[in-house]
Amino acid sequence: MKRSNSLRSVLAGMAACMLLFSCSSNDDNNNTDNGNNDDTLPKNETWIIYNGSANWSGGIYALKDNKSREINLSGLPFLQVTSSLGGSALDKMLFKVNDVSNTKQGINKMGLDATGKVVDQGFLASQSNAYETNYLVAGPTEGYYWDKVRGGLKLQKFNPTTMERTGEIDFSSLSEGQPLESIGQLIIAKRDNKLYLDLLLGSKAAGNWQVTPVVKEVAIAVYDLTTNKIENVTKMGGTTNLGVFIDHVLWSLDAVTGDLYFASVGDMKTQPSDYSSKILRIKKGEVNFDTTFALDMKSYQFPAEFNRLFAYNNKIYTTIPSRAVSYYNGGQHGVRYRDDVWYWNEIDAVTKKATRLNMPPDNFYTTQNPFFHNGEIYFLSNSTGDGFSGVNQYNPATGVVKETFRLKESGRIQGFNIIKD
Amino acid sequence: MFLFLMGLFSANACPVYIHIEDNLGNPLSRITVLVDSKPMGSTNNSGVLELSLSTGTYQIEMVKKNGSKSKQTISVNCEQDNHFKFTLKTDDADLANLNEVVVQNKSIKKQIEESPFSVQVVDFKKQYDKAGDVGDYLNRASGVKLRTDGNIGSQVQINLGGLQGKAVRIFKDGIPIELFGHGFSLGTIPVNMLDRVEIYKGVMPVYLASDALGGGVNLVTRTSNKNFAEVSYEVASFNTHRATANLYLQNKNNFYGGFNGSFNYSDNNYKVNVPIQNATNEEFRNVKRFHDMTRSNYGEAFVGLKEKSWADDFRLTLIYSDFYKQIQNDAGMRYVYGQAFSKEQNYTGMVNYRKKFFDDKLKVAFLTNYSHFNTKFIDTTTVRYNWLGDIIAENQQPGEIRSGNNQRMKYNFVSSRLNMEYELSDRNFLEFSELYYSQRRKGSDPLGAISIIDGVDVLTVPATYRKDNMAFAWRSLWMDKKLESIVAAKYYHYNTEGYTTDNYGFAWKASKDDSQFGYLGGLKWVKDSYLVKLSYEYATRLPDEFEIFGDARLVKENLDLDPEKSHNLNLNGQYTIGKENNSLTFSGNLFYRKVKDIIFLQLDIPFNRYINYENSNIKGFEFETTYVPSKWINTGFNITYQDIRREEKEAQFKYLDDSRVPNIPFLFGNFWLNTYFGNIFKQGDNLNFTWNANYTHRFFLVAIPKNQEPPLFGDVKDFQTSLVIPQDGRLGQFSNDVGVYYHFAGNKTTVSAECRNIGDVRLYDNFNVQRPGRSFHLKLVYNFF
Repeated sequence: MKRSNSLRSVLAGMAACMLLFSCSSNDDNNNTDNGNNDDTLPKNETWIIYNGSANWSGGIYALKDNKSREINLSGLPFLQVTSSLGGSALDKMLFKVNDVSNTKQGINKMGLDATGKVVDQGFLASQSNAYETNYLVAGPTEGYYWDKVRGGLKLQKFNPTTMERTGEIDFSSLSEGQPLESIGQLIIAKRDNKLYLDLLLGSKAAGNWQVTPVVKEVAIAVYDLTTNKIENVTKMGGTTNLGVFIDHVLWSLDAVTGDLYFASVGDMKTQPSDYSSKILRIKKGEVNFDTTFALDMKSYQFPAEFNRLFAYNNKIYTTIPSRAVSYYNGGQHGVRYRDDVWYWNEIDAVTKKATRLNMPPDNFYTTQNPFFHNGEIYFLSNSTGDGFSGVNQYNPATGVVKETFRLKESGRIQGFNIIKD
Repeated sequence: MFLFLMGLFSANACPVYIHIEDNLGNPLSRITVLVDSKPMGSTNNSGVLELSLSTGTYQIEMVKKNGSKSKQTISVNCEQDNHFKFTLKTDDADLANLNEVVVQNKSIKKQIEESPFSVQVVDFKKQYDKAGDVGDYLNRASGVKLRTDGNIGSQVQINLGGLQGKAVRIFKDGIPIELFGHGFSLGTIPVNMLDRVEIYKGVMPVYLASDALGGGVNLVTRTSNKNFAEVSYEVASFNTHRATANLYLQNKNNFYGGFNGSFNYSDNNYKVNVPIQNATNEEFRNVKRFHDMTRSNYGEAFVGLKEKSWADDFRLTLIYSDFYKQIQNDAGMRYVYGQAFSKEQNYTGMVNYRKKFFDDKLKVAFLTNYSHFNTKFIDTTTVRYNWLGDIIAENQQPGEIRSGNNQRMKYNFVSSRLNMEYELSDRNFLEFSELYYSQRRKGSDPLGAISIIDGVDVLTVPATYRKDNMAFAWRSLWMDKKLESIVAAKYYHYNTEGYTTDNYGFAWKASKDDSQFGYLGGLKWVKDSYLVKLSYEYATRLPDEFEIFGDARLVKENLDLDPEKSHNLNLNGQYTIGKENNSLTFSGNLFYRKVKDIIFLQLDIPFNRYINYENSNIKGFEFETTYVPSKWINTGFNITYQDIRREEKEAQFKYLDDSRVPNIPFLFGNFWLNTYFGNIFKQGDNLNFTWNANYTHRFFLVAIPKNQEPPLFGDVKDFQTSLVIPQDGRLGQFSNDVGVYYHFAGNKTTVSAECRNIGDVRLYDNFNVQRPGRSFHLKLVYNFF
């Protein structure tokens, strides 16, 4: 009798402990209503927001009726991704580099389901193991990407609707026998049924992120999609290394003038003054660099690099740091390059005068470029000093800056797209 | 040679402990003990006399100072621990009369488990017929979760109380296991190499003083007190072969020697479901792994002397081990490699010394070793493979994994441990332990870490790391020894020198020196069938050299790193009903951890770096029941739940406050059933069956805001994710192993057969790395003597 009482006591104690530790409060399970009572919020738009935690993982959210000027993403449905760096949108399709786990190189396609949630819709794998799968979605059935394993001087074609590889364009005739040769590794632009692709011939030193070109210059190969022929290879000296990241490519087509702009970053390790970072141009209808035009970062700040690019109506939108920065040097990385130093600027392509835009600087530079939508240009900023993670919009006609939204206790903003009904 | 050794070593002996106390439980000192009429010595202040006897029956005679005597007969079995407790009546009128004799044989397992710490001992003495490696058995212990990157030879990490990786220190006989090379690791050691494994959860005992944040595991090498020689051989699926040899010989002069060795080989070519690219996209197929061969050898030879005036035990050990492993894939199993491999050779010399001084009041144990490692990590190929093993690209940049490695390193390690215990009185003890560890690394990698500014191969610059951990404790017995308490202070210190690219390249070498204090306390109360323990430690883990200096290529230095710290609290309880062959035991452990300054790899481009970033709170419980209805059957289960929650301080990331720390299993358990049948085919033989089942509940790989966490057993509703293990919609992973073991009469030969993962279910430990499906194992163990 005594034994069974003891047994009961022990079992009851254990059960109580299990209950105590296994139950977790779920009281705060609220589906956030961001209070859509602001009439200035566009009702016919879905905002796609990529948020991120300290290790860049996060979610991709779609906000339609629950938009707000201050957005708390808590409780909203999302697509979970390991690297939540922003992507591009084409109609209602969304694309970003690498799969949701960020372990597989390639292009991920997402979209909205019937309930308006962002969902995974397919993946096109690259055979390469490296973080280098640049891509361009040119239309619902027309896309291009670079896959080193399939051939550095071959540009792969894919169908963005089916996410299937459909073939390749061979640029092997441009080979000079260098250890590393690539076409479209960092720049794949399309204008007037022609592709503009960076041609990089060189080698990569151990421990170096960038390819060192055999000739200190940049080169763009122009491929005519009508004739299916390489039309030209245009080169320009005084700088090296077009583009740097595959998440926000450093080219932009001015939708008003038709001019095509590219940014070069130079050798970010040595930051040579005579081969500094520049913004270059190929004018509308041309297949050669405009040798009369270059925006030199030295004119604004040095050492530093252009690392964002958007062009609209003869104006260039980019960030210029408030002090000299170095990607490799200058103390522990992530302290200086990730400081609140990257101020959004509008540079006049004619006068080359830079005007700082009245919005918080950004300290997280590997996110999207600015983009134009409905008469406004949208800029992403994460600023520790301002306690701001969000988007501002700038009206180039009136010069007015307005805060589109800010995230409230919802992580860093790492991407933003607008999908119109 | 064998015959020579056989001649050299003849009789065998083992330690036998005679405990004498009065009927109030007080130890009786200076009682002369005669064995078969031969004086053997007197009991010490603890009432204990340690003898060295071989297996057999002896007459024990106890003689008090006044000449009164009492006799008893004992049976010594050198295959077991031999503790004999005698209670003498202390009536003043008749001190010499033997009132009652209680003979107890308390195993080391039980002694350790009855310490105030939260500790579990996995005893391998009756497991030498089992196939597989040590890791397979640890995984079945309550509150323990092992995670591997594949099969034999893969990296293994232990999760204890929600903490894992570097937070849990692993030792071999008290020395950090990394000093013995990959040939002796949880993923390669067959069970035949070990006597037992001690698992300390959250609070580390003084004798294992070390900077362990979440506890530690001590692998105790198999040894013996009698002559024995055993070999084993296992053949298993995936062209797996394992062999062990253990030898121990001792002569009448207490000179002994022996050998422990193991060999592992596996092609690890089990089938996995992986993507294979075609012209348009990719398709998933089941294919055999083709580049995951692992081979390891480990051998230690030792000689020593026991029971000498200058040493109770003095041992010299020489160890050689090597390890070769092909590398098949990345942690996400997305990339496939066809030529990369790692290789190492390790040489170690070790000296052990044990001696009791001052009438056995002071016990001293000293162990020191020196290790030299040569390692290679080769990834230079310019071709690329797919999962079919076909070359799909040529003339690529060297290196399949990253940007190539041709790394050749030389490591020198020195490690020493000093343990001392002084008996202040029969109920008060002082304990001291110190661990000194020194590492020096130098090598080269023409394809690897080149400093950004100077262009120096940073591995050519020697890097050193030294740490010194000390602990000092006071242990007391109270209330008729039913209550035991311990309080201890710990001191951790380290310094390191290495390469840094900081300061614009002006200074290319830097150093770091830091120290930290810690403390612990523990209480144990035992009475009849109850055991209750409470323990606490303010634990510390020092940053290691890699976390401070990185590799100058992908991970940059951070000289501002602080140690990780944690408040660890455990409450253990155990209750047993019945006795040896008819018992029901319940045991439980409630644990709490409050962890601060967790060292976190901050991802960035072009460099990552380690920072002190995260804080977390862990609450959890373990519960285990063992039921032995009769001597031929036992069964039981255990379950562990650990609620590991992040503490977010930054307002920006507040949405993840109190979210579950991802990528750590939080609910898991085991079930087992063992049967024992004797005299089946012949008198003295044994036939045993086992069934082990393991369950691991699904866990997420990326943090989820707490208010969107799916219910424990519910569907994921609020969001879409494939970042969960398992990905295929199962709530968890459930696998079963069965085995049959036949011990031939005479106890010389055992044959066993096992089937692991009989359901051939898909199992994952880390990310998407698939573990083997169904496998078959056949093992033979032969004891020469």
